[in-house]
Amino acid sequence: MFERLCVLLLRLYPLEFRRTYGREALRLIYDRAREERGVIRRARLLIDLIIDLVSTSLTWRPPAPSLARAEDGPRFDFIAPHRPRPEALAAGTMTSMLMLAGFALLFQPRVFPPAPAQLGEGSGGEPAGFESSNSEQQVVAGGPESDARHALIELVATNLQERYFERSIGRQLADALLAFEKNGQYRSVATGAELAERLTGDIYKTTKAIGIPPGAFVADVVYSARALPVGPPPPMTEEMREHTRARMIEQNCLFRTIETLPRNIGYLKLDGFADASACHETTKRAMAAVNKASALIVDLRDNGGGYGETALQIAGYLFDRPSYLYDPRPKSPVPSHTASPIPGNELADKPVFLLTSSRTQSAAEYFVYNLKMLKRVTIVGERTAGHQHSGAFRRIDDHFGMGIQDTAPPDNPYAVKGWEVIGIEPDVTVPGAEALNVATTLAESRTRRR
Amino acid sequence: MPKQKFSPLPAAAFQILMALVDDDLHGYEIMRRVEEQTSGRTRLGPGTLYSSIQALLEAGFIAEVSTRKTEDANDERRRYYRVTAAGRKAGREEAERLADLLRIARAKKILRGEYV
Repeated sequence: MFERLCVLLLRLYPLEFRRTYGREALRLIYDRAREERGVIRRARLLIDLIIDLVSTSLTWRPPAPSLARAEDGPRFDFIAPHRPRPEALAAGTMTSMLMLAGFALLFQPRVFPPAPAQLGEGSGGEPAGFESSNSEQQVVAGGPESDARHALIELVATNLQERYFERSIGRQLADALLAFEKNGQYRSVATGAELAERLTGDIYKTTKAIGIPPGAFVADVVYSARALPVGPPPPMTEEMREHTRARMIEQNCLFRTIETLPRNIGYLKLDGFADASACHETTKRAMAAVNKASALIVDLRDNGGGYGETALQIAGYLFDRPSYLYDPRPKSPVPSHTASPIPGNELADKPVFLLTSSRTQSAAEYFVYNLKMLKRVTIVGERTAGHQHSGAFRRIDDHFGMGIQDTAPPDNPYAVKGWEVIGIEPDVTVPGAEALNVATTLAESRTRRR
Repeated sequence: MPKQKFSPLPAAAFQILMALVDDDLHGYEIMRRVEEQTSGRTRLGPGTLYSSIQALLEAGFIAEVSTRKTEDANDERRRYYRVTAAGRKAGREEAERLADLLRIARAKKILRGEYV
C-alpha cells in the first residue's frame, strides 16, 4: 500500500525525468521503503518525497541534446528529442485554439432549434397536459434558427432579470447570457437539450464569477422533448390522491429490500421517498425491522427523490435528540427538525452507511447532504446528481422551462451551501456497483471495533 | 542545453562527489553514503539525486560504469557511478573554497568550539 502511494507520487515527477531515471528512482524509493519501517520513518520518507517532487518539478532540466553523427557519407547531426519548453507549448496551444475557433466560425453548419410556435409563458393555446412531440427532430431542422435562439435566450434573460430574488444578480446573469449569445457561443448548438445544458452551465459559470457559493441553487434551464403543459398542473382530486397512495402501498412505499445481512447489519434499499401521508406506517415498520441491527446500510443508489417528510422521518431514527435538517426550499412544508428521540428506537448510536450513485438526487440528496453535514453517516459510492429542485418552475415555451430561485432561500448554517450542480461527494468514492460490498466491509469492521 | 556551471559546486553535487571518492556506487548507495557523511542532515530524494548525477555526468565529473571495482554486487539493473579525475579536482577545489570560508569565519570568531 505504502509502496503504491510512493509509485503514485513518482508519477507526478516531470515526464523527462521519469523517462531518464524513472526505474532508478523507483528502485531507490523501494529500497528506502524496505529499510524505513514504522509510522514515523514512513511519514518522514513521504515528506522527503513530497519536498523532492516540488523541488524537482521546479528545477529539473532535461538532459542536454546529444549529437550523433553518421559516418562515411553525408554528415547528419541528430538532436535527441526532448520536451518543448512550456512557453513554446503554451504559444502553440494558443495558436491552435485560435485557428480552430476561426475555422469553426467560418464553416459551421446552420443548425438550431426552430422558433417555437409561440414564445412566452402561457403560449401555445394547447390544452393542459403533456403532449408527445418530435421536437428533438425539429430542433435540428432548418428555419429561422438564429432568431428563434435569440428570442429564447432573451426570454431566459428576462426571467432571470425579473424573477431572481436579488435583482442586481439577476441582471448580471441576464447580461452575461446575452453577451455569450452575442459572441456566438451558442451558434454551434444542435439540439434543444444541448442548448438548455449550455445555458445552465453558463448561468453557474457566471454565479461562480460573481461569488455565489457553489452548491446554492440559482436557476436552471430545462428542455422537454414532450410539450410542456400550459398553466399550473390540475389540482389533485381526493380520488387521484387515494389512487396514488394505494399504488405506493402496493409498491411497499419504494422500500425495495429490507433485510439483515451477516454480522447483524441492517440493509434498506429505498428507491424513492414516498408520500408520508400514505407511507408513514410502512416506513415505521421498515425501521422497526432493522431496529436491532449493529450497523445500518441505507441504499439510495436508485433513489430519485420524493417527499422530504419521509426522508425526515427516517432521519429521526438516527438521532437521540431533535436535529435540524436544512431544506433549501423557501416555503417548505417539511418540518425543520427530526422527531427524535423515537420511543423504542435503538439505531441512534449505531454506525450508518449511505450508498449513493450519480442517480441519487433531489429529496435523496436532501437526506444525504444533511446527514453528511451532521457527521452522522459514512457515504459510500459515487458523487450524487446535484439536483436540488428548490426553485420555482416557469414555462418559457412549448419545450423550454426554467427553475429560478425567486425567493431568498432559508439561511444555511453549513459551509457547503447546498448540492446544486456540485452534488454530494462521498466519504468513500467507489463505483456505484461496488458500494454495497465496500460498505458491508466497513460496517463489519466498525461493528467488530465496537 | 548549455552545460551547467559548477562554481561553486552545489552542496548536493559536492556530497555526491565525496561519496564516490572511495567506491563506485549506485543511486541508493550514494543516498545512504551522503546521509552518513552528513550525520543524517541530508537525505537526497530521487529527483535531487538524479538531477545532480545528470549534471555531474554532463560536466564530466563522474562517469557511469557497467561494473564496479568490488566484486560482490554486480547488479546489472543498477547504474553505478565513478568519480573522474576532473571530478576529484572539482571536489578538491570546492573543499578548498569551503576551507577558505571556514578560515574567514574562524578568524571572525563566529564559530563555537565544536568546529575545528
